[in-house]
Amino acid sequence: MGSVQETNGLTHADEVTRRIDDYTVVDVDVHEIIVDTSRFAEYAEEPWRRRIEHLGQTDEPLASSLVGTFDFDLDPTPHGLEEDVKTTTPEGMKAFMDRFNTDYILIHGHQMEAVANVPEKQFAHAMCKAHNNMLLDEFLLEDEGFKGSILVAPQAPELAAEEIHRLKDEDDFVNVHISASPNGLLGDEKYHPIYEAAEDTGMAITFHPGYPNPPWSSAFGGPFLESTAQAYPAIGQHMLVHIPSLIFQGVMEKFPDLDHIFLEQGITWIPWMMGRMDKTYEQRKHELPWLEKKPSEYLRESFYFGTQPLEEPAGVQNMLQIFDMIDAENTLMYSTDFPHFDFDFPSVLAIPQLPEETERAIFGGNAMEVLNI
Amino acid sequence: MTSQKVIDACVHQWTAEPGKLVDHVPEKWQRRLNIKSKIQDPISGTVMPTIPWYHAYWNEDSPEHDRPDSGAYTNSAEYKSPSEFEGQLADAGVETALLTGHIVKFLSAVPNPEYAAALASGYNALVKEEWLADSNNLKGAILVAPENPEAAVAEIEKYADDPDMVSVLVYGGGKLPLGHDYLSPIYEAIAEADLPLTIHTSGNPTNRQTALGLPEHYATHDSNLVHNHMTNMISLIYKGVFDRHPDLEVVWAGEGVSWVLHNLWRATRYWRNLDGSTGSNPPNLRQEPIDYLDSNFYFTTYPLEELTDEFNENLFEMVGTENIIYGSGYPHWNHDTPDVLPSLSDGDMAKITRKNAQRVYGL
Repeated sequence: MGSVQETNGLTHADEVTRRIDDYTVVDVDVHEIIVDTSRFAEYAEEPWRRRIEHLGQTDEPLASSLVGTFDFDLDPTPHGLEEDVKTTTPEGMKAFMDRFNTDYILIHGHQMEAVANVPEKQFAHAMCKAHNNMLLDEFLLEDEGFKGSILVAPQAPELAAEEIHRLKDEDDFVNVHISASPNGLLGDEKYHPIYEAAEDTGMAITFHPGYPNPPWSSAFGGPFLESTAQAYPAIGQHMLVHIPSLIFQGVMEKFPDLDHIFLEQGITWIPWMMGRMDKTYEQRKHELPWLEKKPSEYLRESFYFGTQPLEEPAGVQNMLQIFDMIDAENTLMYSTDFPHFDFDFPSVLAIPQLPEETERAIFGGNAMEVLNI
Repeated sequence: MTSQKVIDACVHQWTAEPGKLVDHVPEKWQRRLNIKSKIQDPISGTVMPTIPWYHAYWNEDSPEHDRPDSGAYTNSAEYKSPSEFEGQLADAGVETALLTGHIVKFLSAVPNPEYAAALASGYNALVKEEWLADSNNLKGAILVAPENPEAAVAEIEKYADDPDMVSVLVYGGGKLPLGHDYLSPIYEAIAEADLPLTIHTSGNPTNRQTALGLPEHYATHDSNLVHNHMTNMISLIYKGVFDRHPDLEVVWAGEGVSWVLHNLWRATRYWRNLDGSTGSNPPNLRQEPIDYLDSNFYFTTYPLEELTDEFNENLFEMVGTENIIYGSGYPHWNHDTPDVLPSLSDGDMAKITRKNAQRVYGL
């Protein structure tokens, strides 16, 4: 495989930070962190407030993280960045933006990532509401550069639709966020109320990896993947599965104006997926009479992709070819996943140099347009 | 189309008649196979568990299979008769073909590892007897049921020196990812036998179908079958199978070519990320995950992604033409002919359609 060139983000980081300085830069995947559960609880209604307070008081670390846990530390000032960069305060987030020449960040919470696997639908919905209220109150109103995602509980589609309508007139909420996955495929018609509400209110959906419940996990054979090193390459599978599901189950036909933004899945799988879906569709379209276009056409028209975790071991030459295959200028949105351990720093700053127009689209233009910023 | 005869590393012959298998399994399983041979039960399958709608509407033997508006289906007469099968392959320009079985793709769905091993052994005996004995052009692969490692090792040893059996064959989709420690004896036996391992994906109907279970439509299922390859590849690498057996060659069959790029680039990216600073260290490996592509992996072209020639050429280049082996998937509904291959240099075409397979399978 002689064509693979390694890239070294470290040597490119400063150069690229300078390169994007003139652009309007939008980072579509940033997670603020709730460190104080009792403060979060104040945003919830009873009887859920007491439940959250109780979770926060327990000594049991699994329970005290609200809805999910991580096996990596979350340093309030991660990645050796400057002291003033913090994930927990508006000022710290602002410092993060300054450090990376970012004009807007799309924020959608860290500790709510596993909300889709909370079995109680009302509780999951209540936590989403509390989170959205907290985000609005403590972040979005603090800075023009902060944009929020309306977090919804996909396992409760009607309540999710209610939440979308409740917040639709708050200008700082610019999209609907599904932290996948509930234990099911998101093309299923039971999720349609979410898509209907999003389309009605003119908002795109962001899909982000989550933590499916047993017996599913994020990957085929997931319970037997023994380490972070084995699990993290594999967990993207649960995001891949939603794309054929959304397309073949006809979501694009039912909600043609809805845009779908897939986050934290990288991008180099997209050519393969287009080719595989088109090949299958060609022979099995008689089973899918509601579709009017080839799967790859739906993919190009209705889907966008966050760049993180960019598969930078591909090297510059291969990455440029893949950008070309997926029409990167019209489909990619810059994302970092700050502050997680696989935050695209410094490697994302090794996004190969592209024509200025293409760079402006990827680093902000596409997001500004799709999210109406 | 290449004018040279090709080697086809992925064809699916039938070899699953319960009435014939019964003579090749231990007595304790004969009653079950005898019952299976007398009932036609499309829901529970004949020999293997299958998905209720599998044969009924998404795979072979549709009564409408010749209707142009209902997609390609497969005529069972073509895959049940060795002579007919061989004739069809010859007409398609195939000189040598590796038989990978048909309904045995669900072997990983058989819940009882002992029964699964008995079926695998019966299958191998039938392949030898019915398909390989009178043919110079067909080659076999030793099917094993991984979750019974002891029986798998015995089966590998039984055929290790048989020139008609050119590979070990595992269908993915089982309960354990293939790098699991419990399966280690199988890799020792494969290495000892000096055979390549062909891993074919499986839509295992008793285990999960995809990372998130059973989709509503066949097209979604098909587009996600690759998940068991993705997991098995990561598992084999990180459990050190190729560090213990650096010469072990794996042919990843049945999912096309370019899926591997994301899987291994992503794995490599995380390998580099997990440098210890986060509290999660990567296991010791002798090289980066992406490097195993060149040192240990091959990919069948079947089912080749429907992309432009230019895209497929570029993707082949990224995977490496040394690592790609032509496979048709015949007679599955989505099988390919060499016409689907992108324009390649004569040298690369020769590698993909002949030389790589000759080297790996010792043909």
